[in-house]
Amino acid sequence: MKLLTKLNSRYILYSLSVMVVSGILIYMVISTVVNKELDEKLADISLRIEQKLTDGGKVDYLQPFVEVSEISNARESKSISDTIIRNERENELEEYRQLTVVKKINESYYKIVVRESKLESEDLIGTLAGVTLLGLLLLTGSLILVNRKVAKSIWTPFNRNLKEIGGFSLQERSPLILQKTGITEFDTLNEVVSNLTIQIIADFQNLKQFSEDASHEIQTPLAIISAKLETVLNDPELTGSQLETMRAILASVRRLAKLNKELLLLTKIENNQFIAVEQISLEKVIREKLTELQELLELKEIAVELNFTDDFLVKSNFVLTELLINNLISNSINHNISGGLIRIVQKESKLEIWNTGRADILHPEYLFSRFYKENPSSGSVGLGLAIVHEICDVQKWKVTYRQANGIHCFQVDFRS
Amino acid sequence: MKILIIEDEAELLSVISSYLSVAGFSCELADRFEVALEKISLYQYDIILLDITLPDGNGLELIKTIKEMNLRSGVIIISAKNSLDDKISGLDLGADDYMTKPFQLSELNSRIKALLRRRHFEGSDLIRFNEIELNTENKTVTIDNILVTLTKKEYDLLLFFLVNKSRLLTKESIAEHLWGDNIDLADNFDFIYTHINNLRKKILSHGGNDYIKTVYGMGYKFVES
Repeated sequence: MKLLTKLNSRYILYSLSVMVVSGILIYMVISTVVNKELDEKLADISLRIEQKLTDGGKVDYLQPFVEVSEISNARESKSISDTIIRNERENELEEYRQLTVVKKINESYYKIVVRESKLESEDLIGTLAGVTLLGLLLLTGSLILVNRKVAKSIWTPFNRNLKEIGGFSLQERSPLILQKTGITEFDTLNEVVSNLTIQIIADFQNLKQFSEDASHEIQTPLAIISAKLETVLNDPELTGSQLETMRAILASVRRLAKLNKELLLLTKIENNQFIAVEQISLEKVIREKLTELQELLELKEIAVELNFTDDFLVKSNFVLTELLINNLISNSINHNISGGLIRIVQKESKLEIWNTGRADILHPEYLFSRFYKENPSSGSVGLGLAIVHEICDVQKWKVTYRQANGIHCFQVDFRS
Repeated sequence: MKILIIEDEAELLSVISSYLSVAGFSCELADRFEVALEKISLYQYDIILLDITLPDGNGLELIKTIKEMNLRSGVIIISAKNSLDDKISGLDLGADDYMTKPFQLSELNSRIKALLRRRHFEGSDLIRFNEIELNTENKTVTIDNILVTLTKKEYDLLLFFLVNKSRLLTKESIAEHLWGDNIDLADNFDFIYTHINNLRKKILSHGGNDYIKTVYGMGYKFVES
């Protein structure tokens, strides 16, 4: 729930309960005041009637407002009550306030009943209460409206900054610069977030630099091991089993060297170290790569079909583009079958590389993961497709894989 | 042929120099920038192997000095950094080749030989081994003066063997030499076998001898039979 909605619903709830309570209070106060006024009026009338009776005058009856009757054997009393009397003319029940006084005047007892219709006063109470409630309602409503309007303008920079934060990416390597909102709490938050991104970028940079430095440092000892091994291999006194051991060591060293080289490459791609951009003809790159690999293709008896609908130019870094093509084509050769086929189709910004292959890939979802190998016994280090994926990531291209009946297809969409 | 090896890792320095000495080069060593600078100014070298990350200076500066002094030395950079910038600036400054650590000594040897040929230091474009003659200028091979038609890879393979005579060449180093290390050929070493078999057949069918000895499980050696 939005903060604004939540606040408003609370406001409305509170205002409503306050209105109900204050409505009841107002009604009670006003009706008490009106009743009191009424009672005083009735008392005044009854006093005048008593006066008139004392003076021996005659009292005019006016039903149902005044009733005077002489009674016997009574005690003096005075009581006030509400009563309902049928209005004969309109045939309606009407509410009255009545004062009943029994008084001894000139040795005889009189019962004086004075009544006043409550109709008028009830109208008054209703109107008063209504007006007051309406006022309250208007006040609450306008408060909510004003609140909403103010809140909207206050939250706008916050929302804009939130969007900015959401768009933060380590790839860009630039810390977040957030708009000043003029509200202390928000500005503090912005500052904290900005500093956080600066810190994250610095840490990330350090980590990347560390990976790269570590890989570089590993190269030299690897070079020493591999060179020494090569010298040993040429030692004529080496026995067969020693030679075999040496071979195993050398193979592992080479694997390690290759692994390190590819990891370094991956780090460099992540570090955006390939920045020079030029217009590259995909067809040219592919044709050159195929020429380079022609003999390998012939040895494996793999046929290649090319289908370029137009000479598509990619605006990108040459090294990365060549690497992408190289890895995809190498992949299509390595996992191909003898007498197989590679079909390369380019249509607009989409390039598809199809190849026949052995069994279907069991876990296509891991295909682009680092060190994932469908066939664990393969001598490959398992970084080729991870590099493809990383290149597509930094160039904002899209690479997808699909397969059907032993045909594997990688599609790269070069539209970024 | 005189080679100056500039490398700050003592172990690497010694292993490279002993390998190249066996290959017939006369090697001088420098493990620091200052020493290297002094040697370059005093003596003439055919080839300078240069590690660009030195403890007391940037190797790229040495290339500048070599070019300023107008020396004829060929320069091969050996670097732990596979950084494209270094490679480009090194080659721009006038280095002739760039190798990334770790590298195969046989590969280093053949790059040095190739550089020497390019600079015509060895005086001839012909590499001769008994009845086999390889012309590096027009990339042709003759056996007893009869032209043998080789594919590009077969030619490269023969040249690699000839410059690394009597040395064990592992399948991996052959693969890397022929295909570069971009393509992951780990599962495809059979191709090396096919290439070598084709080359062997072509040499034999032209009356040549079989000099390619298989070292079981390891690789191949080009030896006088």
